[in-house]
Amino acid sequence: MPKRILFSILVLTLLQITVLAKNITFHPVPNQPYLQSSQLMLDSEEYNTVVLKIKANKSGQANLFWLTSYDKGFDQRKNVQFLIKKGEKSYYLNIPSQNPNWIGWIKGLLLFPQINGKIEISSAEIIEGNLFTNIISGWQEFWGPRGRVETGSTINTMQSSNLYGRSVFVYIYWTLFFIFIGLITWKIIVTIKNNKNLDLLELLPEVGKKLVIAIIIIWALLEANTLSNNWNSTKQDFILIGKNINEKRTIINTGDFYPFIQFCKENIPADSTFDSRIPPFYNDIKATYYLYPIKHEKGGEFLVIYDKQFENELLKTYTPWKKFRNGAYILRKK
Amino acid sequence: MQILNTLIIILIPSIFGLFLLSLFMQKSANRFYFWEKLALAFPIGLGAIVIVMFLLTKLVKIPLTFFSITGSLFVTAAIIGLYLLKKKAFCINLAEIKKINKFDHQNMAWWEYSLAILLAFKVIYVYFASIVKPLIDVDAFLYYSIVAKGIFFEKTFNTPYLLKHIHDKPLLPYLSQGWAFIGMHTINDALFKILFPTLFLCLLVIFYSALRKYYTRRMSMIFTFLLSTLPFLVFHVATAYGDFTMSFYYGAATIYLLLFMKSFNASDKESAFSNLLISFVLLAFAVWTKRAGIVYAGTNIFVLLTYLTVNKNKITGSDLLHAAIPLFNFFILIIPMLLYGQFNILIVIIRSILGIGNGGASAAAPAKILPPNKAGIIFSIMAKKLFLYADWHLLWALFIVSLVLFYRRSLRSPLVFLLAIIFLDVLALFVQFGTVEMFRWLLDGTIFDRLTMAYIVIITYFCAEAIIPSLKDNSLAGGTRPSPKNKKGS
Repeated sequence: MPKRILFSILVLTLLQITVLAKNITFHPVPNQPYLQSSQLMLDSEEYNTVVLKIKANKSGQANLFWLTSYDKGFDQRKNVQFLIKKGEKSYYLNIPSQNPNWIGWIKGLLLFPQINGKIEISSAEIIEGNLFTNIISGWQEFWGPRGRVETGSTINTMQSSNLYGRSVFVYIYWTLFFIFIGLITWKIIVTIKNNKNLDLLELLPEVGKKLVIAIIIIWALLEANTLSNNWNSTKQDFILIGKNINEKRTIINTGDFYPFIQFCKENIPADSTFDSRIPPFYNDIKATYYLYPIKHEKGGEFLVIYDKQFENELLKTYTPWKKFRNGAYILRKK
Repeated sequence: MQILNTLIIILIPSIFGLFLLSLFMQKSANRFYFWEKLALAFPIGLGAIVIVMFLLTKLVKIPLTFFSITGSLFVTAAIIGLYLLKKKAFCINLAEIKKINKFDHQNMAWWEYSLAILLAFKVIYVYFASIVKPLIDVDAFLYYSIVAKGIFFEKTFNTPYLLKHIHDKPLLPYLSQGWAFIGMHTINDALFKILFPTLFLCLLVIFYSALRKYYTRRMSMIFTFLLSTLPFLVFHVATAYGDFTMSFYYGAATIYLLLFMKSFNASDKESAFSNLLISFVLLAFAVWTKRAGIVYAGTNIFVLLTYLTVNKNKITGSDLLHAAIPLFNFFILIIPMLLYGQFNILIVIIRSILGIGNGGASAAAPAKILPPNKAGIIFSIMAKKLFLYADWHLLWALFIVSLVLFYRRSLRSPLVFLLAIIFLDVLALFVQFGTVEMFRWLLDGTIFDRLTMAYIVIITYFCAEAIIPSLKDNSLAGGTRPSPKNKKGS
């Protein structure tokens, strides 16, 4: 009888009917890469899960920002990131489990997809989550971009995948701790039962052997996860196979940056010097490398400008010389 | 043609390395596995090429071209070859080559085959990730690879423009990448990275061989597999930074230092001193790789001297002489680097350790005003980074388990000396992060993991040494153990 009750409770919990649900409409913002919701006024404690059905022609990362009654605008502290997969899929985001800043009254949402393709929100609602949506949210969070997508900062550190806002390692260490406690308790009971002398220091290596096996098994699971990341990054690099070095450089750089560099190489004498105005991050450093043996020097003989407004003062020193396209030029010292 | 040129940048150091290795090992070459010798030949040859390039530029003052470098190597190899011919002591022989296909696969369980396949996958992955993608990492553009490109065009690194990019850093990463461009006869910033997965492969072979000399195939494979999976290490193999190279040279040098102690404890002195010589040659190349190399070298030398002092009853006058040769070689190899500017770094480091630094060099001078909780902050960031990030899987948990649950083995000689090295290396982190500049980098998360990587190979090796003997009565530790006289072909 108690088994039947427990089973019924479990089924009812899993199938828990969502009491609170509110449909949301997202609108594209003119000349901006993001979509914004209509104005809302929802209690964050009651409405904690955003369900988005998204149709995309490419996979990629997206961020969902929110605005509370205390905010004047969207900001970096209030966002969660997730992976959008190619095709039409539903995404469950139990936000308070991933970010503690889901507080107060929620006034609006903003979806920022970082995909070089088309995306469309088929439906969107904000609901009071249940066990089912929470499990899916945790699963999608684990397989999300954190710890999987290589970014510039990966060279310095590798994030771990998260589960309900915490590193998966937190859960792993708790598991290992309980295994350790379980093993040591079991060993003590067996020793006492067999009327042997209890020497805790003797028990440690015995327990250690089994704990090592547990660590190696969990390590293997973590490695399976890493191998899937390795496979994803390998798939992204398939495009580079069979290409020559210039084609590869064109692909790995953004936009037409590398063709512009080649244009500069063709037009600036190798034994001269250049200065640059090149955004965004690190492209100026790349230009210094790519253009060598033309040496980078402040106030050099040539000025390389790529998608950056330059100070009019510069026109006193330099004169326009070669044009790659609008916004990308080479200037020469007067 | 490009493939051939790419292979040349691996083959030439490997062949030259074999000559040097033969010189170092002489009659004790049969104590080393065939594949282990090949795995040592490449990094030793690469380090030697860097020194040759340095001497050609600074001492002989001739341009660095393919012919000047390979010509110098040829002359040196010919002289060494004549000596080896006289001594009849080349490190590999025909009998070993004939045994290549006789791989020790008897009684291999399904999971051992799986481990072998996974190891192979990882190696293929790092080769693919390294050579398919051109350079993308900022420090490689800013420092190492632009100088390498400069060496290719200018045939020297000794120009004001290139020296500006070198700063006060040791030269191995710059010159080894320069060698790659020169060897390929072109600037291909994808293929030149083949140096690093090759070092990774060498590291796995060395690691496996070092374990296999004392333990079963199964356990050696498990721990080599664990090393091959460390995500941050694997990621860095595909970059053109100096951190993985540092990890390789320092890790391998320390493994051979422990092998020296193990052989010495077992009274196998011939083997012991060959291990010591190899250890200190690799350690010298660590000094050539990154500034921190000099700190790590100091640690290893200090621990070696402690070991010799503790074991003074076992040491004869001849042993001391044999121990002095590797140290002498080490100093000969690092003298050019010290004269080149690293001596200043050494002075600053010593001053900072003694607490009298003046903050003149960002690398090692302590901050004038230390916030009272600075050590606490370092410790807290350290704990978070080591345990909650994906860099090292569960290595640090395994390390703690090794220390606590296998304390008897961990605290026994010679493993306790490896533990001392790890302890001093971690302590060195605290000294380094005592500086204002380094502390800032700790807070913004840019450097801690890369510094930790230098001794991650040693931590893995320590875990293996502490755990494997303790599992002796467990079925997992079963399998065939090599007989001391029949080590080949494993």
